Amino acid sequence: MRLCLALLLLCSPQDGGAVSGKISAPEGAAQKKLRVKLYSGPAVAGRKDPDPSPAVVWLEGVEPAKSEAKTLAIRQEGLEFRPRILAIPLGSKVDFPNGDDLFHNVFSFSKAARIELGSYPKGESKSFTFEKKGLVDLRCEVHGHMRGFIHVFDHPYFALASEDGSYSIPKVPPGKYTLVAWKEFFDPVRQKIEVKAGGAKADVTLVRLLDRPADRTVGPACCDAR
Amino acid sequence: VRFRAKIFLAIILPSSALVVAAVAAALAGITAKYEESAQDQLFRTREAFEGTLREQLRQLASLTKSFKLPRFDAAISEAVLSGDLVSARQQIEYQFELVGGIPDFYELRNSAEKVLLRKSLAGAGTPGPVQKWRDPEKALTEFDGEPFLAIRFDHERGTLVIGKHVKPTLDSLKDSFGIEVALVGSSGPVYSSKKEWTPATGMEGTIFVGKTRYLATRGAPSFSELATVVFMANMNEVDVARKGALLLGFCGLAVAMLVASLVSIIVSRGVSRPVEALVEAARKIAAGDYKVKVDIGTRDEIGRLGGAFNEMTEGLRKRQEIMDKTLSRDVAEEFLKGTDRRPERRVVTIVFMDIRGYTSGTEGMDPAEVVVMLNELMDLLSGAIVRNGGNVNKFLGDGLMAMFGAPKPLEGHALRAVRAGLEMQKWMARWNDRRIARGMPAFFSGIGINTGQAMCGKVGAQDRMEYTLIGEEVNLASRICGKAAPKQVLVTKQTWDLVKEEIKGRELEPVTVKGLSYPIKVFEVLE
Repeated sequence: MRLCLALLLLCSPQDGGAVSGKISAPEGAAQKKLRVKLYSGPAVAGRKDPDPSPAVVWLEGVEPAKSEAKTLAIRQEGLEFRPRILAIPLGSKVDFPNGDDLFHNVFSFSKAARIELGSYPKGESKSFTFEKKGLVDLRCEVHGHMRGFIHVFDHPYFALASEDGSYSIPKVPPGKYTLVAWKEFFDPVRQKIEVKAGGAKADVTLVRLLDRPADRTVGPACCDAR
Repeated sequence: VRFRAKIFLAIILPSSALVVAAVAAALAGITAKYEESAQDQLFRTREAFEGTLREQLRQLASLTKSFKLPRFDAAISEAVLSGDLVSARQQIEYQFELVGGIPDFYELRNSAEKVLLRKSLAGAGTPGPVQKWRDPEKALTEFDGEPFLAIRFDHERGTLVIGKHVKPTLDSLKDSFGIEVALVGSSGPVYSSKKEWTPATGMEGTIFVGKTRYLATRGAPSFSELATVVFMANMNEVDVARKGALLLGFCGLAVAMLVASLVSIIVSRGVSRPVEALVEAARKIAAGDYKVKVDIGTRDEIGRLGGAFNEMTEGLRKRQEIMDKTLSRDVAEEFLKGTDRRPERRVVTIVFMDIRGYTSGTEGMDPAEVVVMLNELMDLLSGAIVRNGGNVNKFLGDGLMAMFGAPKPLEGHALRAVRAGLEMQKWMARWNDRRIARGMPAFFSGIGINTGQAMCGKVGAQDRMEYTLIGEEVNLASRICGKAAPKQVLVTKQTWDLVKEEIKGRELEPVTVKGLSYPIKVFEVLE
């Protein structure tokens, strides 16, 4: 369907074309360790596997353009944020319904959105409207392993990749751009692209974020905190 | 004085040896006690140092547990990711406050080891280069020239180093243990509770900071990145105690000397006074005074010596009496000059006296009566000789031999001898008058006098000698005596020539005597 949409867009010359490609993210030991740590987390009753963590791609340095605000939801369910990753236009509102039989406390220290929803039980929901662009790092104060990311854009040229890494940003006007690819546990990668009448194709390979054990206190053997 | 000195030495030597031994023992005791306690204190301080730092390290490490809390974790992530360091610092420090306070030192780096946030003692300045800290396994380290305990927390996005400033801990160690502590890093001292101390002063054994002595040990705990930790015990106290013991020892010596002086004066006075008295008495005896008596007045050895001395004096006095009776004074003095003096040739005058008709006169008399009579007579005659300066050389039963000019030279010995002879006859005449008046038989004597050379000196066996005159002139005097009639005093020409100016006399017919081939001129002296 997305392909059909891309073809449709290609037919319209003033809209330029779609930027598409594939994001490959070869997982290293560090990423795997982090993923395993966060995904498996503490053994809490009722915990279920987290949602997939797809890559997000967008164009950098484009003129802000209004796009239609949406109302979306990130549920807290099975002690995870679902969906885990969200890409939204500026002004969108996100609901945070609690679907678990326990309290959650959603917060974020991110500059794009300082969120303090407080704790609330199952069935209740609080919402937040995102008025600044940028990456919002979502946390739950009660459950350290819970992670969620919301990318807020002031333009429409962004896309969430599919699980296999393929993506497509439609209706990009012809011109030169910087494509940014982001994925959890990896460093973001920037890549120059040129969009012509038929669109552009850009495959991106992400690099490892870091390769070292994390959450570790280093000191003499005597100070092992128990 | 010598006796006193001996007593002084006898007291002072053992007592000073005792004092010296006591002081030496005290010094050794003090040294051992203080050195031991100093070592002990050093050891305990070292234990406390390690223990306290380990405990603080444990607290620091347990603080890092909070870094895993969602909010702290989020704050770190945000600080690394956002690039807004002002709000990141506020967020981080807010989180620090929530979990127990902002540490003395912290440093947040991203995964590329770039310092994002930093706070040290100087305050939260601009983040600079990564703090030099070579080995995170060594928690005791140096940040900005100050001693710190540091610990590193690896976050998924970066690194957070936190540190505790341990200077207050070290200060309190000094306060509670009285031991100076110093930390030395690779580039010099990082901390020293004793400001004047530097590594150049010394790090081990006996060291001097200024004029104060310290006992120092060094060593660093296993978790220390600093090269050396020096512990110094102030040994001033032991030095003061040592000085005190020495002073006490000197005082003891002084007191011992004083006591020894006093005791030696008192004791020596008790001994030397009687000794002085004995010496004085002995000198008197040497001078011939046998009447001295010493009175010690004590019953000790000296007192017994005094008693023995008095007995000795008594014995000497008795012997002197005998000597006086058996030896003339001049002869006695001659003997006192020594028994080894050789006889000498000298011109003397010899007087012989012989009682005429003695054997027939004493026949039938009680021998005891004869002795009394002889003693009476000899007393009279020898008195006459002595009064004229002569010496009775020997009594010859019913006669005597006297000498003038021996042993001592005598001026006018011939004249004196002649006068003595005349006096003897006069005395004898009076004595006979008394006897006749009592109806007892009279005795008369003849006297012969000669002057000439004779050998004068001591003659006899080694252990029994007598002073006598030997020579022909002596024999001649004896022969002349034999020729003298009762009441008559005969002199030879040699004598007559010497006295004829003073004495009246007449020449008699020359006589022949036994042993001489020619006749001898003799003169009878009259008055």
